[in-house]
Amino acid sequence: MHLSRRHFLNMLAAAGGSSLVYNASLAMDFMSKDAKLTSLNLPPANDKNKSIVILGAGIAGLATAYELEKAGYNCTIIEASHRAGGRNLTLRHGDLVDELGNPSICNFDDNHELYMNCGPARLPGHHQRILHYCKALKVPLRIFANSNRLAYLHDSKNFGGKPVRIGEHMADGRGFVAELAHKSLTTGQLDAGLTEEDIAKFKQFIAAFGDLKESGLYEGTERAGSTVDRMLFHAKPKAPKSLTELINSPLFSRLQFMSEAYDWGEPLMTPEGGMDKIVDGFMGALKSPVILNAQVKSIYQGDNEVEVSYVKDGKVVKHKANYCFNNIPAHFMSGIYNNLSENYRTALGALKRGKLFKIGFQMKERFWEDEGIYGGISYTDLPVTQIWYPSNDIFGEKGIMLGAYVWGNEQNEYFERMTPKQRLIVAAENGEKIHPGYAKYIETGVSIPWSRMNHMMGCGSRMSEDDHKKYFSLLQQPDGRHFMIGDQISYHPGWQEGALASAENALSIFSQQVGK
Amino acid sequence: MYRIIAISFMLLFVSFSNAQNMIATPSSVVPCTVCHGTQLMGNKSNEAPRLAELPAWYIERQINEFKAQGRGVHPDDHSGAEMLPSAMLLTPEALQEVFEFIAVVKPPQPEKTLHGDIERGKQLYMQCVACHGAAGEGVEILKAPPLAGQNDWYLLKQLQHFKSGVRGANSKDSSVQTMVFASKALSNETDMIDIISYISTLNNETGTN
Ligand SMILES: Cc1cc2nc3c(=O)[nH]c(=O)nc-3n(C[C@H](O)[C@H](O)[C@H](O)COP(=O)(O)OP(=O)(O)OC[C@H]3O[C@@H](n4cnc5c(N)ncnc54)[C@H](O)[C@@H]3O)c2cc1C
Ligand code: HEC
Ligand code: HEC
Repeated sequence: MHLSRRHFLNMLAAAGGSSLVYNASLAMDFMSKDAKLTSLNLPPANDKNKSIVILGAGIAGLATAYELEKAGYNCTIIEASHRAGGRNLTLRHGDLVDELGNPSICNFDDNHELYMNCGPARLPGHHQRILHYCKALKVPLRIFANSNRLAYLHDSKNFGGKPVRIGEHMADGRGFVAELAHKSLTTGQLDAGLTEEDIAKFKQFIAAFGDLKESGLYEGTERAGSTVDRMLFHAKPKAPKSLTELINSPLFSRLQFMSEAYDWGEPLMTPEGGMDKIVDGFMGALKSPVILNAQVKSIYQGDNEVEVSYVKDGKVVKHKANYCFNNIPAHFMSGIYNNLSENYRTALGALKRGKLFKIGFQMKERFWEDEGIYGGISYTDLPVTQIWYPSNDIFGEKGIMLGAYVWGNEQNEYFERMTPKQRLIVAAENGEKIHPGYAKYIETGVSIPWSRMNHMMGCGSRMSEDDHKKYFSLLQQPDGRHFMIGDQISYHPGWQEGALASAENALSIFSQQVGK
Repeated sequence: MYRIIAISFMLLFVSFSNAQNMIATPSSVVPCTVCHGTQLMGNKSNEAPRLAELPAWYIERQINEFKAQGRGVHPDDHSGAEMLPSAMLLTPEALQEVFEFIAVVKPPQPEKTLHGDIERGKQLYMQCVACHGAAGEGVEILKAPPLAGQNDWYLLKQLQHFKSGVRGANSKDSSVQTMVFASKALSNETDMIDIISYISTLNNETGTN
């Protein structure tokens, strides 16, 4: 099973497309507004509409409760799972891996550095909403290495199936492009509208871009490393790979640009000790009850209130509130009794489940550090797709590395259909191809297929283009006293920033409504 | 116009009264409801069918069929593959809890999502009567389940799956083969939609148990 061309394109489209949308919204002024890192400061609650019920304790639900509580509302959060946080999940020693049909316990050693961020793992500097909450909740962050020139691109069908350092591919790619541009300028093909002086300056840029020789030729560069010790001898660059071989590799042509996406722009950040420190931060700050192990079964609105029922400890509990903020993944709504308007329900039904898959391995030695790799990601055309090296605990005794991070429906299903044990075996075999000896370092592992996880059943929900036009704006509005929230109600599903933007949008409509 | 309003009021009323009749989910059935919905009413987004009308003998047969890899293993059986691990994990005790729960729950009738030619469907359904019963109530000795009360989108998918060999091809069970054979008689999707549209009209009579 290899990544198809279409899959690569989809991946890039997903990454590039959504960040374009986000870019546009930044340009419109969100960035300048959020850059101040102020909180939402909702107007104070009025007595008539004081009680709020929040369904689901995902990041959007928690932030909604936090903001409403500050404004004086009485909130209750009802959460189906045994824990708060939703997809913001960090696994450590002894934690439940709550896959439907395959529950298990995480066997990582009991050590605070040995954890796996199963959902979110990285935060870019322009996600000002989530960073605001990290600051407000005093969640310490540190820099997280996302791209690493010493990590690998591994193309099983090219370059003898051997992994190539990302920096080498980058240097060769730029070198060849620069050489071509230099030639075009010299032969006058690329000089439209440029003066002779412009051309000379442009040539300088091109030479610096690709590290060309004075001749304008690319003959390899020490940017990609050296074949001899660079401290004791003059650096001697490797000869560049053949251009035809390079462009035949999808890894070279596409995957090396992964971290060019706006949301993966360096430097990224991550909470010290695990992403769920943000959830801990919210839970510590909230005074409202968060009722766990309470699966919502029905949502009915009347004229002045919303009645929600849930099952807790073998009993049906009914809970009434003036308003409801619903953070439950939309695909569950067609299985929950409700009297939302027909249009709204159709719109919810148009949100489809997305799939993502991760594997975490506890490695008994940090063998990648011996290869000069400290953090970052290697990419491969094998099913595991990505291998992540931990940025924390450099030189530590052991480490948790991501043995797979898989996108695309077919690729996900390939792993979903296996037993958890089979998944780890395949991931170990894949890893061997990139790091010979890989498997013998593995002590234990867990797999997280998000579209099989209890009470989640998906990540990165999507709508067809047509449905999106028809329905999406409807879901960004309330249906009576019911507001839908979550990253699913944003243009950025699969990012906590999207979840928080949806909460912000709902809360601003809400405060206008109750303010009247 | 007035009729539409009257009907939607009724729906609202029915829904409210159903919330009143909500039965607490036993712990071993909670995972089933994550996919199959409140009171096992079915969930189209998850492609998980309604279980509330199914008799114990049929559910048990299907669970065994999943366990024996007769269902849910075909490469194109995406929804069956999602069910498979839950069947593998199911203990006889938990299954008993499922039966007890199903015996008491009464979710509202499923919404119609298919709108075919009911009259034509009624004619076509003649070929199914012998096994599934005139009212779609199912016939235990033939191992043919009730069809009335089931989600229409699910029935359609199963007919397609039987016909294309996604369901039943692996089965060592001869009753399953009778259905594989019956599905071949349906020449196209229109036939299937028409039959199912007719089956949906049987819902009110046999509907809930
Ligand atoms: C593999 C992966 C990688 C990711 N990487 C990043 C990243 O690097 N950076 C980043 O910022 N984001 C990332 N994300 C996205 C991030 O995890 C989500 O955007 C965010 O956590 C979603 O929050 P939400 O508020 O939409 O709620 P969700 O997390 O969807 O929470 C929904 C909640 O509803 C609960 N629920 C479900 N059914 C019921 C019911 N019937 N009754 C009551 N409660 C119910 C669930 O248990 C859950 O707690 C990633 C996600 C995944 C899966
Ligand atoms: C991960 C989601 C999921 C979970 C959890 C789940 N199911 Fe299913 N189930 C499905 C899907 C999807 C189908 C439909 C398969 C198909 O399309 O062929 C199904 C089908 C079935 C069927 C066959 C119905 C028929 O009419 O033939 C039975 C019986 C069943 N499930 C019982 C259960 C029970 C009991 C549980 C709890 C122990 C459970 N399921 C848990 C998703 C799930
Ligand atoms: C010879 C007997 C027989 C005939 C005729 C027959 N069926 Fe079936 N049908 C079965 C059996 C047996 C099963 C259960 C198969 C299994 O156990 O997987 C079944 C299952 C089904 C299912 C799947 C139900 C579920 O819950 O998953 C559908 C849908 C169905 N039949 C529709 C039809 C239709 C429509 C016709 C007429 C065109 C028809 N059947 C004719 C015997 C029959």
